[in-house]
Amino acid sequence: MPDVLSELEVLALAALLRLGDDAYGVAIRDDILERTGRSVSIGSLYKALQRLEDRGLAESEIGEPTAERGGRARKLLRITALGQAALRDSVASFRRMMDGLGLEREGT
Amino acid sequence: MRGSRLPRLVVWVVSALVTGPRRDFVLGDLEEDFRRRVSTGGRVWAMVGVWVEVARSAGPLATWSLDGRGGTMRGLGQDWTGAVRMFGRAPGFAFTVVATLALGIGGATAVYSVLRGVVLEPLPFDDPERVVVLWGETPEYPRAPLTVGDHNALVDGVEAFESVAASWTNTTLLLGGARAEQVRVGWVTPGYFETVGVQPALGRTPAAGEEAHVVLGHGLWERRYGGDPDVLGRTVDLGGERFEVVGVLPAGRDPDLTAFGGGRTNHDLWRLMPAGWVQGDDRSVGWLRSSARLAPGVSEARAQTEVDALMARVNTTVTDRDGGADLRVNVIPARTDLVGDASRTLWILMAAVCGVLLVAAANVANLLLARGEGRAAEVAVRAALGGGRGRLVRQFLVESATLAGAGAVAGLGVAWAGVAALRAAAPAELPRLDGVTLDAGVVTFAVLATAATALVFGLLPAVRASRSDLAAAMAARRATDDAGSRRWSRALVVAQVALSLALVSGTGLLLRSLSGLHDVDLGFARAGVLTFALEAPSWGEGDAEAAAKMGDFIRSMDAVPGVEAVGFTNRVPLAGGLYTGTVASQAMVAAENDAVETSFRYVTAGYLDALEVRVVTGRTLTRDDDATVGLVDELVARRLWPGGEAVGRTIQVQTVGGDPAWVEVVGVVAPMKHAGVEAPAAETVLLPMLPRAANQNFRYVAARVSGDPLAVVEPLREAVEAVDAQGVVARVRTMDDLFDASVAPTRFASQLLLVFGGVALLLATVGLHGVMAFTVRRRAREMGIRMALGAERERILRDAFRSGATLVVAGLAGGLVLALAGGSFLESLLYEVDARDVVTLGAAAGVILVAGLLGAWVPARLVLGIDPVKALRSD
Repeated sequence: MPDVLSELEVLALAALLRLGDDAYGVAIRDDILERTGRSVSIGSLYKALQRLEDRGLAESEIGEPTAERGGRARKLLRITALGQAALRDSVASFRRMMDGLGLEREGT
Repeated sequence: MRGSRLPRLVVWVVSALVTGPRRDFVLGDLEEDFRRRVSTGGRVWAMVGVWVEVARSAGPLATWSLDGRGGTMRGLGQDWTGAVRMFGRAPGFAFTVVATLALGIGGATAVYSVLRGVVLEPLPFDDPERVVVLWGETPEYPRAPLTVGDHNALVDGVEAFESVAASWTNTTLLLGGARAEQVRVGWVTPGYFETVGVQPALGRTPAAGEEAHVVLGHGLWERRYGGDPDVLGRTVDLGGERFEVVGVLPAGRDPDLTAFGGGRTNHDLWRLMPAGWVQGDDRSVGWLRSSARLAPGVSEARAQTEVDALMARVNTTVTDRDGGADLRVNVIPARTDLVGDASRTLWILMAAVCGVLLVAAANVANLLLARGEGRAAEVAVRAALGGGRGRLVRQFLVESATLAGAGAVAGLGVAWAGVAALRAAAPAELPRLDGVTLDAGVVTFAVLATAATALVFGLLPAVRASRSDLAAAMAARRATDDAGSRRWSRALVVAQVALSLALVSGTGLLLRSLSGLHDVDLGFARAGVLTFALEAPSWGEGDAEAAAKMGDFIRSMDAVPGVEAVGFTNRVPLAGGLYTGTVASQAMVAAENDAVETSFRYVTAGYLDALEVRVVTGRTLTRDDDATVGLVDELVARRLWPGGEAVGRTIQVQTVGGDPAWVEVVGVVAPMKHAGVEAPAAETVLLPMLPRAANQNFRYVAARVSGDPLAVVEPLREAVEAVDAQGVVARVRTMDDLFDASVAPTRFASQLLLVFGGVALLLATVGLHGVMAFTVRRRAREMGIRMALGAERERILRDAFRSGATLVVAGLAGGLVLALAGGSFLESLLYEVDARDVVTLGAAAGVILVAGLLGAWVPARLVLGIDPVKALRSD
């Protein structure tokens, strides 16, 4: 039985896809905030990212420490092929649920 | 750019929540975010932002590391939310449980904190576990000070000791300055401070040979010298002798090992004993309090073995020792010696309060069982629909842990108030009470007690829930009752009743002891008597001048309005203190039999009048009696002349350090309680004080006054100062105070047990009521059917009542066993009451029976309210 993604996980995967090589904690959070208006706490975001990593939907590497982070490194995340597939599945099932409800047109 | 760094507090908080490499990413993100906010919205905006972020992230971050494997935490969160919601819907139930737990946990925590502060906390010395005291033990005195000869034998003869030192105490006057003050002086041998393990906070301690140097206690330093560090090098006047201050001891680290006479003495200053005092092998008087420091890694047992071997050798060479040739020296850890008696009382209270905690836990378990019963069907349905068994158990455990947590928080409040109350109520003799606080260790205890409680009362319903299966649960809803759970809750009620009986009967025993103590014949009348120590810088030369001065004091004090009789003694009754000697009848001297060791008291005629000491035969002392006459108490008379007349006989007396003297017995008095109310009166010889006025270590005054004794304290002080402006009145106490202090441990224990017993009884009654009420409601349908079939209500009521009464009786039977077993535990606190006293046990059982039957009867009457029609429709 394939894992079902939570809403936050879907949003995070989408942000990873968009941000590419520049996806890390604050950047992901800001992207979600900018596009959806949802303010996600750093703590919840890291937990969601951890779950994605644990399931092989995302992978991470340690970046260089920078001065603007007080000499601390950043953890850069990247979406995996499995993650892209899962995101597609989620979006597709979401669409199927919405089909015929006449909701999509209203928004656009 | 200093202003844009992440606040240090944020770093701390986050570091506490997240560990390992993750900490770096999170902090980096927070810092980056923080800087951006500073540059766009300013520092205040950034501060608000970062703290909001931390607050929102705290929960997820804290559970981050636990997360990921099967969503455990998420599930627990749901259980917890569910539990809170459930209790919100049943506030009465939740309140009862939390209040019950708060009482149990709070009480246990409060008593534990006293136990910890007084008994478990190490003494404030360096390596305190290595400090031991050395008490002599002879057939007459289990705790005798050592003689110089025996002390010196130990100084070099025991390899297990790193060092051996000794101390002695007296009081003297600190002169100079505004007002003369009576101070307690500790006299010590060189190396005493190193042996005990206390270094001065200021300056140094006197080195060997520095006999004109003193080190001040912290209390005196602050009180008299305002904590002035320049006190070092200053000269102080002690009773006319001049001493140089070389050091000040640290606060709370008094190198005092005395528990002698039951109370702790705090010394004001310390000086060296003249070297000549502790040289040679004199064994005529035991007066040294010896202590030692064990060599590193050496056990007390080994030290004791070495000491025993040494004393076995020494004893064979000794002929003229005070207390006899057969002396054993006990090596006792300083802490055991200091808190010995108090610790027994406190452990008893601890046992009692743990009993209360158990009753409380049992009660809560019962309440939860009853609730679990109500939810049996729900649980069974959930199980049938695939709810895992483990999940159900966990939900019950989370519910009980939630209750226990709330109980613990409320319990800490109870404990805080309890500690304040204990400190106010505890006897002054309880050592180290100042150290009692609610600290981290105590809170840890509360948490552990809570966890244990939660486990006890959470496990039963959980286990039951895990066993429930749908068919049985549904059937149980319909039919009468579920045997399993009923068995459990009935067993719990029985246990509660049993524990309550044990506590109540223990309380009863203590109360009887207390009332017994109040009726004790002290040998004198305590009401209206005031006592105090009277010191003067000089008593003149020789007995005649000292007697004249004491006479002046007596006349001056006698003239104070309200004073009916006044006189001197060397030791006040009930206050303890040892002053001994030997006495022999003429026949014993002639037969060269060993003299009898007895207690000795020096008294003036007015002293016997002031205490209204009862003269059994012969006469009392008069002002003009010289050293050739004396009194004995009935115990001595019986010992020396069994069945014979004592008055008119001659005895040979010898006090410690004195020469033998012949004395004519002119009267026999009732035995007086000198060591305390409980201790049996010691055989005592009373000699006139005035003919021996000069050589007295202690001078106490007893005055019988009409009206309030405390009202004459100031007039008496003025009367003393009228004779000698430097005269000092110190340690003023009424005989009633001394009496209260003497019975305080028993009263303290009985008051607390009274509270604990009462709470346990209340809880047991509540528990019984709960179970009965629940049973009746559960069986309403069955009873309804019986009524519909024509059974009389009275009969059904009787049945219901009988089922409750059975529990009470079973509990009483168990309680009797428990009370008999626990009684011997209390024995040390009892006074002339048998630990298996039938009357007390019967009375306690009666109280429990009445309370228990009431607890069964009231809910049984719910039967009368059952409407058969409604009951039958209720499904």
